[in-house]
Amino acid sequence: MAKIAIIGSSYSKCLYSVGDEPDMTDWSLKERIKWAKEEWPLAFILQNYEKHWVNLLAKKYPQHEFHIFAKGGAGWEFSEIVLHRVAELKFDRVIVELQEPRLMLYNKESSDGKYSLKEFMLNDNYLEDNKFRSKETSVFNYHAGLFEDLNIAHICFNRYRAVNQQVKDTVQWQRERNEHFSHSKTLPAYTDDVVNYIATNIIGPVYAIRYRQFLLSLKTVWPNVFDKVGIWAYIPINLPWSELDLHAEIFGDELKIFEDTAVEEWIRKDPINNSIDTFKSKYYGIDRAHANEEGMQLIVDFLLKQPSIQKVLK
Amino acid sequence: MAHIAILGSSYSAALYRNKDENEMQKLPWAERIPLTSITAEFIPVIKDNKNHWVNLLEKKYPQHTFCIFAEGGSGWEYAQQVLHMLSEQTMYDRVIVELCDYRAIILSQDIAFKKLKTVKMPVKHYIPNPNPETYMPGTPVSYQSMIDEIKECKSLTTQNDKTILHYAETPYVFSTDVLEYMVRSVMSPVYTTRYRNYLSSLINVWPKIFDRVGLWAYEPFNIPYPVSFNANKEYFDNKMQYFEETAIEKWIREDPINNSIDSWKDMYYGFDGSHLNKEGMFLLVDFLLTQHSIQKVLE
Repeated sequence: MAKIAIIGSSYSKCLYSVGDEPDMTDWSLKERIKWAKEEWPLAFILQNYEKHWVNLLAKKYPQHEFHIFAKGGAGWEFSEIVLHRVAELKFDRVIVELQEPRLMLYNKESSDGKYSLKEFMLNDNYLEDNKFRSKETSVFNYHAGLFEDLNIAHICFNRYRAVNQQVKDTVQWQRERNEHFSHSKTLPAYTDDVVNYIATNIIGPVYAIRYRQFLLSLKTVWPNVFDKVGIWAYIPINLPWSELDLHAEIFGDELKIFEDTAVEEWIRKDPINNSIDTFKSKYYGIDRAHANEEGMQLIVDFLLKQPSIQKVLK
Repeated sequence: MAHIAILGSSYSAALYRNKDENEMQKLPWAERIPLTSITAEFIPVIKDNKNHWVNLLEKKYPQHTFCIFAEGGSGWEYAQQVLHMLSEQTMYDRVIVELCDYRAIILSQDIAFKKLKTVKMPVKHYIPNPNPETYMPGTPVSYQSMIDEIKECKSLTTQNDKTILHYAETPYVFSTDVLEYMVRSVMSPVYTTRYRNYLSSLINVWPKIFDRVGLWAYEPFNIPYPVSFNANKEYFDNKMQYFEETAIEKWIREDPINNSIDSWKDMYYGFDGSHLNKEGMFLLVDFLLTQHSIQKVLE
């Protein structure tokens, strides 16, 4: 029996859906995309654990315990913090999900220096109180205590828009969302100077070096700390603003991207009718970004073909 | 024979000297010229590698090679990046890591990790180019005191003052609201947790990568604001000795009536009133040789 820590973002946390989800059966692709873009940002999100890929894996490998430390929106900086903590907790194995580089943003209330570092994340209390997910499987779910309470936000980036604009839009969206759901703590409104500082820092060399070293540590450092390290990626992991191909440099063909692989397979099945959009309509939820119940089975199939994950599950 | 990498701040980088140091040495230490106010145009700093503690250690342990990756002004974030870089290059089997006061990289410039310069000595020096700007809070600080300190340093006197920083690759505006965001980030639990994890990794991670890891501290390395975290207690069972404290305690014990903290600093600080002089380097070597983890590295 091994204790396996699941580390990553929303792709590893649970199966997401939306409260009062509209019936999209007869909707055109255009209507679906419009809903995802305009309505989803302020939708009430539901979390399902039973049908999540970790639970499906746990059913196949009942000899292991799976402990989920993944967090929606989080990126490599959060994963790095968790890796250190689960190393201290003497976990045997880890499955790390990679995604595009993301940035943490701090809310004013979290920064007066008056907090207990021990309470910040994975503190002793919530390690004791962790939720046992299902009677059928040994899957445990952790809540990042103070980390959640302080409303620390994350910014996801894509390659198609300017970094500073993405920072600005994400802050604005998070503020609107917090207001909509009456969250007591929200992000401050950042001026353009601050947004530019954040953007300059994230595209600067210190951030790039830290990100590269995190990726590299999964091959050169953490395998010396844990018995087995499984790595997979849901979406491409390169810095969207840089020509550096860190994926090729560090992992080469060893690392496959779930979305790319699954979409390729889908199109190969019927090149005329199948496309990325039809794949998303079939296997993603109405946010068109996270796998739905059928998509979860695809993730399991994909993971079981990855050599490093196979070793973790042995 | 082992290849030993030296990591740390100015305390591990070099012996800082000046052509007029004999005159300056006669002044009380507090009246000497701080290194932070020195520019090459006014008072040139000479980096003396020959009389530096690493070279003194090398003479005692000629079977090993020593390479200095320490950088003046840098702190734990820089050391962490160097540790990763060393683990990638697999050229060094042992490391000596100096812990210093809590520092934060606040502005990102270029850090190149591929430059090794061999000086005409057995000790190699690693040259980063150029350095990131680091903030070093002196005494315990609050959010406001950190803001005020950096404001003064950047000559921001009113809320609307702005400075354009041109030396970054992309020049950007440094204003009060930028500064507030910066300080908020540095004081946030995410940042301090990263520091905590760095210390933890020196015990739990890096000894599994390098053959030996030697640790020492020039001065206390706690987070200088109230976050209920005692680094020495949590990770070293309060057994990590601080060089300066230990040396001063010994100095006063030798002659409690005449010796004091100030007289120790007058005697062992160099021309800048904050770094060791040539005599101080011998004290540092003696101290290091009594530290268990350093002894293991030098075996």
